[in-house]
Amino acid sequence: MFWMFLSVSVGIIVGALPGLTATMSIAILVGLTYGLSPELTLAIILSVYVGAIYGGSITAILLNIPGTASAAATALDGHPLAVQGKANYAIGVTRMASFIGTLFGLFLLMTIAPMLANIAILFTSVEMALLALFGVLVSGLVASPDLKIKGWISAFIGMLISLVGIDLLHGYARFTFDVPMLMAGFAFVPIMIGVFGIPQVLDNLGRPPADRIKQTGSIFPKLGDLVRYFPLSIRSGVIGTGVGIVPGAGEDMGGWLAYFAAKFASKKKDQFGKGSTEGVIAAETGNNAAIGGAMIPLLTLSIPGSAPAAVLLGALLLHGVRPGPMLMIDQPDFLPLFGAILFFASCFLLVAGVVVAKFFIRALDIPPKILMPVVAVLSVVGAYAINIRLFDVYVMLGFGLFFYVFHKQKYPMAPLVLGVILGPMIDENLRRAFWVHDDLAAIFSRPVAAGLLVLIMILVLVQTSVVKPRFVVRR
Amino acid sequence: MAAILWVVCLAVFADSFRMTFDITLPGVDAKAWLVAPGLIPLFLSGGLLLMLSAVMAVALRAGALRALTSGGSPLALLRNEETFKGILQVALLCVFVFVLLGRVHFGLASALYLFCAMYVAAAGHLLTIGAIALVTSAAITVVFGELMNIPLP
Repeated sequence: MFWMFLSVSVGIIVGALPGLTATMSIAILVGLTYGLSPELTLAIILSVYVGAIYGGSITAILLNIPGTASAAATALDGHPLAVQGKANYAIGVTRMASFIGTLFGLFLLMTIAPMLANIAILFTSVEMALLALFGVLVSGLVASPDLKIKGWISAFIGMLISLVGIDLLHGYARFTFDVPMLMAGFAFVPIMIGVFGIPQVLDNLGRPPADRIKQTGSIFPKLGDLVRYFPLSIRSGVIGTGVGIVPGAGEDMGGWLAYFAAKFASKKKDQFGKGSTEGVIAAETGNNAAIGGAMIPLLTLSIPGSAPAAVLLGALLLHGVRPGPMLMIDQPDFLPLFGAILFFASCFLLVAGVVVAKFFIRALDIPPKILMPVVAVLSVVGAYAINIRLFDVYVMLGFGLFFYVFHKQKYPMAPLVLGVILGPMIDENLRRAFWVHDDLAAIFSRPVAAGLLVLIMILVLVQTSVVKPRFVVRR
Repeated sequence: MAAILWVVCLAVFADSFRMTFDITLPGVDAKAWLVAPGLIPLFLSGGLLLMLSAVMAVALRAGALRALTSGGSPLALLRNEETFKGILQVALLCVFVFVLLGRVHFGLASALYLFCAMYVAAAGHLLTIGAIALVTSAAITVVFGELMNIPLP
């Protein structure tokens, strides 16, 4: 419990510090917690995750800079509230909204996950492969902020990287160039730390610290406000969880969609963007509810719903937990344990949020010029700790620098990591199905496989229709 | 960037083609290509070739080639202080990882890196950043190396 409280507090601080993202902190933690028990590791990582998603809102309110991408929608109304002298009120309201959002996501996780697992257990190799491919492709399509095809390029590169090493089906060495270190393939944790950590370090080294608005008023929201906005919280929770389920959509999209829905339904639309409490509550409930949503496909289908969930999947695999349809049968205690950790983490958020906002807020004044080199050193420690070999540190830095160029050209990194993690699953399952059945038509005539194949074809058509207009010369 | 990747993908595609259609697998008689280790890489590298071609075509239509040739000399780019500092930070990180780690004690290596990185970023007075580098490095070494028993490079 102590470690969980500490982790939630650290998560809030990390999330609040601009430049340190939830994904990056979880990626580094995977390496740093490798020696601990799986239960404690899970508790620490989930607590940091919950804390970091909320922590981003503190910076969004006080500095008008979202600490994490998921808090971008919160900044729209949170910062105007702070300018009006209601900074503590906004922080208090977002804390309650995050708590409700996380609990709502957890409720849906515990309700839907067992049902989905019962369906997923009927899936065969080919369906698992197609489902994983579908997840990676959806993630690539949704996560790309620029040209949509860049998401797929990232995802395909990720899957190719994952196929380096000895092929598990026939023992054939692929793309190893006779280098002994490459025979076992690239470990995914150093890649995750590299692609999420190094670009953040290099991007933020030159950024000056922002001015913080003075905190005034009570940090505890009024009970009346919470009751009044409860229906809004529920609606935003449903939207956030729903968005969280979509692979690659993540917490930021959950926050944005909940915000837009609140604006659409509100009687005070004109207040949005000028300090609307509804806007702040909707955005924060939405992004925190997406945590539970992202866990639903992660635990039942082994397909993460967001970038931090993808990193969490890496952590689970590292500790011998294999999420997927068989998880509920092989480890029946896992889902209740997972739910209990998420529940206590959200409860600790209520207390830790006050402690951090009152006593550790000066951490926001640490200049990135000092903080970022320290993050680089922690990334090195995290990458090394997994296999205790320098090669992994080289991999971490090599991939980090290589994909920094990608990051600069607006290629999303979440599909890449998803590709690295799910690539072997797609490769093994698809080829195993071909080996067993030896007939393409028979394999794809199964209803679920055929349905997934149709969905993948639709994604290809969507991608083509997005790219096609870019070839038309504007006159 | 896309052009360099395109060339790499072409090499991967060629190797995957070999691993798919020019391979003998134990226990597999007919349709060996369906279960060959090169099948998925062939599909992925082929897809990448198509998509990278599309990205290059879009970039060319948007005037990427003109922007590249009118961007000035690499020397002029280095004269930009921000760019120069960025390159220096990357170089420091590479020296820390590829040169210092494994040869020098981790505490000393990280203190050296932290000091140099903060100095290049103009994070403060020499004494201040020196003290921060030493204390942080010692803290990381003790907390992770001694208290949490995490092996350090």
